[in-house]
Amino acid sequence: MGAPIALAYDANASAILVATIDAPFAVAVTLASDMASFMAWSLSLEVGGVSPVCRPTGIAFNNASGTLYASGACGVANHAIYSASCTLPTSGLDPASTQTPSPTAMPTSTPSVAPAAASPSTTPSQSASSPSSLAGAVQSEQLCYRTLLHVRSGGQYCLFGADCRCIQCHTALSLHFGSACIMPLLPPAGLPIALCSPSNATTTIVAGIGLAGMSGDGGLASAAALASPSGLLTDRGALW
Amino acid sequence: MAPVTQLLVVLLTVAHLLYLVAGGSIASCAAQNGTVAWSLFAGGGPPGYTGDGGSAASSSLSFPRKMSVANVSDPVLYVSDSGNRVVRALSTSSSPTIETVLPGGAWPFAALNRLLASAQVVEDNRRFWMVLADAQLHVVWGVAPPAGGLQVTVVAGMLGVGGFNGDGLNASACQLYQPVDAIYLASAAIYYIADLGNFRVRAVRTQGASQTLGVATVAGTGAPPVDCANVDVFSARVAPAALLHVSDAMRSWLVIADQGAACIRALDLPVRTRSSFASPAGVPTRLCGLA
Repeated sequence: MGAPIALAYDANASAILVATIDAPFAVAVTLASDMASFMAWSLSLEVGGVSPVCRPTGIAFNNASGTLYASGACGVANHAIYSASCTLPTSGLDPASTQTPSPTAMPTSTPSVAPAAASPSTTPSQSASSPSSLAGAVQSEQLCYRTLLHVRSGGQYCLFGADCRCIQCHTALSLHFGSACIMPLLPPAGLPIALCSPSNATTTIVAGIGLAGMSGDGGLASAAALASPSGLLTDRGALW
Repeated sequence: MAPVTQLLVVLLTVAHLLYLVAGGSIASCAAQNGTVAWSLFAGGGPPGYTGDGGSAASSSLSFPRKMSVANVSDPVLYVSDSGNRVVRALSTSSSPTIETVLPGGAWPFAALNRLLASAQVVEDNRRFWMVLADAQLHVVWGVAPPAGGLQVTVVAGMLGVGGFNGDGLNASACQLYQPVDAIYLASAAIYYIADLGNFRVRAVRTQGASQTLGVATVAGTGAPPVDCANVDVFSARVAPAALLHVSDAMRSWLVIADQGAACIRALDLPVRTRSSFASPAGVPTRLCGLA
């Protein structure tokens, strides 16, 4: 990211908004959905839209209206405050577009993870050959928290990126990647979640065999046994 | 229409309504396949000082800097109009208006050369309604509530004297160097200052039996940062450009925009109880970097 110059808080998404002094897009986002662990916070790309503020100096967020304000100036011109708001689509579903999200919408933390999902990939029906405890989860509708790279220890859910092309976790013992998310939803509690489509789910077991244990070091991750994995981190193509 | 599709349509409609009712989130806009649209809110031309009492879009500003939003029921946007050396307030209605809420006359004569880098409205503070970081005169100003006549006084720093003369001093005798942001954490009664020129985050709180304000360094060593590594708070180098406090029921963080290392850092503040901090000293326990 560029040099940060101002901060604001989007309470509706538990996200920290960051204005960088030299970015063409004025605002980047840090998701702070897991307050308990700073390392679970992740940077996303810009909020979206090309900010007309060429050199931002301040930002503020109006949680009541969902409006972002950015101040700045371009030398001796455009001494201004701009506002930005989000307009949601009002038309019907378009699964094709939602299943093929724009690469620009991917959070910066996920590209190093996404390639791992390319192989070996399975369809939901094929996943029946996976541990049986996972197949049922894939067949059912799943609500996935839209929090990046966070696994709840002992829980069932994992997270995925801002565009719903993501990591999905169905149990605490195995991790899945997929492109199954159709439509995001902002629940009353304010925690962004998304609805995953089971009919289009494509999942890949990245690590874990579905049984608790500790084995497989030096071998295939998909043949390894894990025990209550919690917390994920990516670094230059590696998943920790 | 298949039942699943019907369900998705319903959920989409609910999501849209929730966004409209709850105010929505700019951060999750992309995830919701939304589009962020920018529009001019105030100013837009060369530096100037016009428009008070009228439409914000028809006004002129001069080097607007940091801002804050206050008053949840009727949000108001406050901005340090630094070139005009005043603080202006903008309504956030559909037809926003602008006015000067802290005019030049509120300051003592010695503060003519002030550079208001930030204007943060504070809550639950008996003395001040707003705090302002002055990067030119090396002080943090506190503004008494409007009912008190908008009196402006120094919270911390020596007026016009930039430097570093140690910690543990009374706030009025403690030197700052180009502070660019200041916030007030009501739950701990602590001011945090982005003391950029000193490469430190400073905390100001009451100390001793006299209940005077004292200053301490809570992050930074006085040297510019070299990277964004996760380090112990006592050895961390920072160049704080902005501060933000975030918390939930269990944890409390002081978020630091580290301009020098080009990353966001967070100070893990003491675990707090429901109503107060377990550690009254407010000593940070950890500092993490996120590049």
